[in-house]
Amino acid sequence: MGYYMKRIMMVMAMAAIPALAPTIARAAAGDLLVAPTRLIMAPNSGGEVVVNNTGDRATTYRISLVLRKMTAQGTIESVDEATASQRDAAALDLITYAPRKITLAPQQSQTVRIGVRVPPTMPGGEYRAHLLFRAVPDVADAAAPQPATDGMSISLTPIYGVTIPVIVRVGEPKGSASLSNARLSVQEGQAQLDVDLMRAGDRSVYGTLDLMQADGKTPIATIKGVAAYPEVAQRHIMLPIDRTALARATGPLKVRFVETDPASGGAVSEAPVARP
Amino acid sequence: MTKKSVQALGLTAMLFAGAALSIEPAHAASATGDATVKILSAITVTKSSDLDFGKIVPSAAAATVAIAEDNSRVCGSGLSCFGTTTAGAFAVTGTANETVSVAIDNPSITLTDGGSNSMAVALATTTSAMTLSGTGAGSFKVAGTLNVGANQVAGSYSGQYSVSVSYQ
Repeated sequence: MGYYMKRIMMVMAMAAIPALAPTIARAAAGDLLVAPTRLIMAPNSGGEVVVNNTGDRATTYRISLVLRKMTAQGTIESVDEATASQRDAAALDLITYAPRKITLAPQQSQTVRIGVRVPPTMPGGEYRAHLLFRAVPDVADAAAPQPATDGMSISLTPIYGVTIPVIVRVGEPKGSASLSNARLSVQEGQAQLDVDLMRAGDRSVYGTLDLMQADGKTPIATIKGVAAYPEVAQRHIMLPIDRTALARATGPLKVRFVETDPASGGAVSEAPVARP
Repeated sequence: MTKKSVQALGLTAMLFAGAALSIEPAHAASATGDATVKILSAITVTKSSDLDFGKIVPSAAAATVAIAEDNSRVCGSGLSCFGTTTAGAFAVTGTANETVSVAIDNPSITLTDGGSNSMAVALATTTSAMTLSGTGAGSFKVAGTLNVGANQVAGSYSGQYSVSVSYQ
């Protein structure tokens, strides 16, 4: 392969990263902006994540690679590296990143380089870890405990962070999504749709969920950025619904999941929804 | 395919074309005047209140003080509790209708007075997943249970806890 071709391919790989997830994450405690919010990487590729201090004080951010798992309820939980299975922890050895600590002046940004190196013997499939961006609290900034003259006082400093998934796919694992058990409920002035997102195959699925009239084009309610990771064969999704919008809808309803993962080809799955 | 991904693919194509041009500038005779702008959405997490256990006078027996998400306090038997209490509260703003997960990374923490005295705190939130509203707003609270030891030494105790907002 010629130099130019290699160079072009590298540029393509870099360019593809922000295109996959055109959103950015932002958190306070030294306001933090992270873009993009999701990385899907091929073996032996590179990418980058931009970190920007959107706050008004110089802040140090620590970057780490952590394990998270999804539950059947769709929540994301921490996984202790020490107790994780070899398969679950494999991504930690595939993904490199630098730097791991950044100090940024207000409005300053820096790129964190992400690399993926997959040994040729690695079995095909999807491997995932999560990049955690966290502001290191300023010691002087921590809420000063009150002098305790009449007992004890307590000061708790919260540290907030943002995590984004880094997904490594080896050998184009297949996957598909479908919807099941969609049920609409209205109680105490609240309307909600509960539905199970079913996942098959070896890769995660990711997309947007809409509730709409069976013959309509405009969603009544929408959730974006919903995933089902490979560790769950199904996950629950609760979609809150504006009752006014629901009242305007006539006739039968359906729920639709449009995959936005680039590996999905924009696959759409639908299921009918019974009105209560 | 969604409109957004079409735009994103368009941008990729533009970048690719740009890269190709920069490598062989001699062939870049007829550049068109395309301009692209990509509007990025952001999410922000801000603290709206501290988790505050108020003031406590310990007793001869160990007991707990629990602050619920509605800021109410349950003062363990034997303890004297006074002062205002609040649950930890965080506001989230971001893209309309986007879902994020919320987790307390270290739900069991230890507070110290800088010396040898310590107290354990258990933290919890009832919000594990959140869908931001049509205007991109959301919030969650953190409740806590403080374990006060028998004859706990008076002083100023401090500690840290970590909350993370996760994209899927």
